[in-house]
Amino acid sequence: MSMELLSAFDFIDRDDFVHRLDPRTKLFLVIVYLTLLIMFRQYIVHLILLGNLIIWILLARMVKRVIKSIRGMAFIIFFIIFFNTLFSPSKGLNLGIQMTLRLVNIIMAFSIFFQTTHPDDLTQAIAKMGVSYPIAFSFSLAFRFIPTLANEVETITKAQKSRGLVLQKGGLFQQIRSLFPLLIPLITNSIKRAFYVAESLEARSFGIQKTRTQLHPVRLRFADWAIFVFLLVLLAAGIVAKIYQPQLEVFAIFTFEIPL
Amino acid sequence: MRNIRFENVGFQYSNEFTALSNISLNIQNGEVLGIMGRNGAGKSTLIQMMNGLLKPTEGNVFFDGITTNDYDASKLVQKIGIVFQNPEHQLFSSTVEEELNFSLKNLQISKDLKAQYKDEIIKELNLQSLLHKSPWNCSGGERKKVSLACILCRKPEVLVFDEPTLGQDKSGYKILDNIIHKAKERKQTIIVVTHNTEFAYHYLDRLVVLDNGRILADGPTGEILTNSTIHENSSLIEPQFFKFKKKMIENNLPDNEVFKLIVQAKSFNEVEKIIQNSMGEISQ
Repeated sequence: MSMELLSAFDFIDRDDFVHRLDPRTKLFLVIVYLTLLIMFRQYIVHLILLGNLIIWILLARMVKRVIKSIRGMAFIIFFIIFFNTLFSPSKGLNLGIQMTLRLVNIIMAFSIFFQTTHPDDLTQAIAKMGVSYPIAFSFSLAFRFIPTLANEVETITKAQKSRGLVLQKGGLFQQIRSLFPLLIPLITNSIKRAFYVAESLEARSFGIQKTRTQLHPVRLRFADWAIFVFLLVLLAAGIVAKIYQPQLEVFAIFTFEIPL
Repeated sequence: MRNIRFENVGFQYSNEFTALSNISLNIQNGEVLGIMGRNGAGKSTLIQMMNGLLKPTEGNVFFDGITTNDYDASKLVQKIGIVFQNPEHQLFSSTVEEELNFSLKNLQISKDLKAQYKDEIIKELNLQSLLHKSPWNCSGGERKKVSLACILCRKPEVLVFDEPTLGQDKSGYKILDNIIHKAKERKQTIIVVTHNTEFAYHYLDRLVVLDNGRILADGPTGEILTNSTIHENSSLIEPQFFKFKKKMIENNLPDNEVFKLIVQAKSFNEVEKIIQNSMGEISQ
C-alpha cells in the first residue's frame, strides 16, 4: 500500500465554503454518505454518491490531493478486484468493482472531512456534542497526528532507502517483509511520542479546570442548517428507496450488473 | 569524476509548498561542503535530491553527468550515502549487528567482501561492545553512531550528513572528526547540513547558504562566516573565534606585535600558540 493514501487525512489550511462549515455538518455528511454506501451495493447509488462527493471536492479545491490518495489505493483496489474475480468467477468482478467504488467513496468522504476540518475545531465540535473535553481532545489529537505519521513514514522510507531497502519488488511475501523496516520504527516512535505528549500535557496542567472557554467558538450558520436539511432529505430518499426497492419497477436500474 | 550538479532545480512538495527554486550548484569530487540556512530553508530537501530520494519538479540533478531521473535508484543510494538526522527513523532490528547486516544485505558484492566491510566499520567506530545490544537500549549518542555505521559500512563514494553534531557529546564529536579526516584523506566528497557554525568553521571548506529555497551565498567558509549580512539574513550564529577577534579590534587594543598576530590568527589553537610564544619570550 502506498503511503500516499495517508495524504487523504492531512488538514489543509484554506478559507473556502467547505472549510468554513461547522465540523458537525461535515461529520453528519460523512455519516450520511457512509450509511448510504453501506445500505446499497448497486452501481447506480455508488455513482450518484460519487458525483455528489466530487462536487464537494471541487468546492473544497482538493482535487489533486484526492487523486493522489486514490492513487495510493491502487494496490488495495487491485487486490480487491483480483481476489474477488479469482474466487468467484461468476459474480466476482461485479462484487470487486462494487467494493472498490464503495472504498473510493468512503476515502473521499473522509478526505473531505479531514482535509477541511481544523483539529481544534473538531475538538470543540465533539465537546459540543456532549462528549467530555478530555475524550474529545484525545480523539482530535489522534487525528492531528495522522499527517505527522504520514511525514514520518516518508522520512523513514527515505532513511531506509538510503540503506538500500527496495520496496515494491519481488513477490507478495517479499513485499510484506520489506515493510518491516518501515513499520517497526514507525510504531516504536509513535508509542514514544504518545508518552511524550501525555507528559507534556500533564506538565501544562491539562484537565485541571472543568469548564473551558473558547477563543474561536464554532457555531452552526445558515449554510450548515441548509446542508443538514439536504443531507436529511438524501438519507430519507435512500431509506425509502431501500424499503420499496423490490416492489417498484423504477428501481430496476438498481440491479444493473456488468454482464459476464 | 564524481561531481554532483544542480541545474536550475526547483522542488515543490505535494502540499504545494515550494522548498527549492532555481538552484544551480556544482559540487566537485573531493569537496568538503557545508549547507547552512535557517529552518525550512530547503537544506534537507536539497540533499535528498542528490541520491534520487526526491526527484526535482523543475530542472535536473546530475551525478557523474547522468540525471538522477535516469539513474537506477538502488545504485545511486549505494554511491551517495545519506546519514539522516534522527537515528530512530532507521533502526528496527533486534541487535546492532542485524542493523549492519541489513545495510550490507542489498549491496551487490560478494559475501566475503560484506563480512570485510562489517569488520572494518566495527573496528573504525568501536562497535564491538554494542553488537549484541538492541539499538533501542543504546544511548542517544550510541544510536547516532549505529546509524552512522549503517551508512558508512556501505562505503559510499559521496558522504552526506544531515545535522551530524546534533545531540553529540565529546566522544561523538571525536568519531565525527575521525570520519571526516579519513574521508578527506581519501579525497572523498563530503556534504554536511548543519546549523553549527563552529563545526563548519573547523571542518568545511566551502559553504552554501540557503534562504527560502534559494542560494543566498556560496563561497569559502571563512568568507561566508565573517559576512555579517549573510548572518543576519540566514540566522547563523557567528563562531566564537570571530566574535573574539571582532571584540579585539573594537576595543582598540594596544598596537603591539602580539595583538596583530592574534587578529590575523585563524583559530583559538593558533591564538594559544601565539600567547604561549609571547609568554616564553617575556619570561626569557
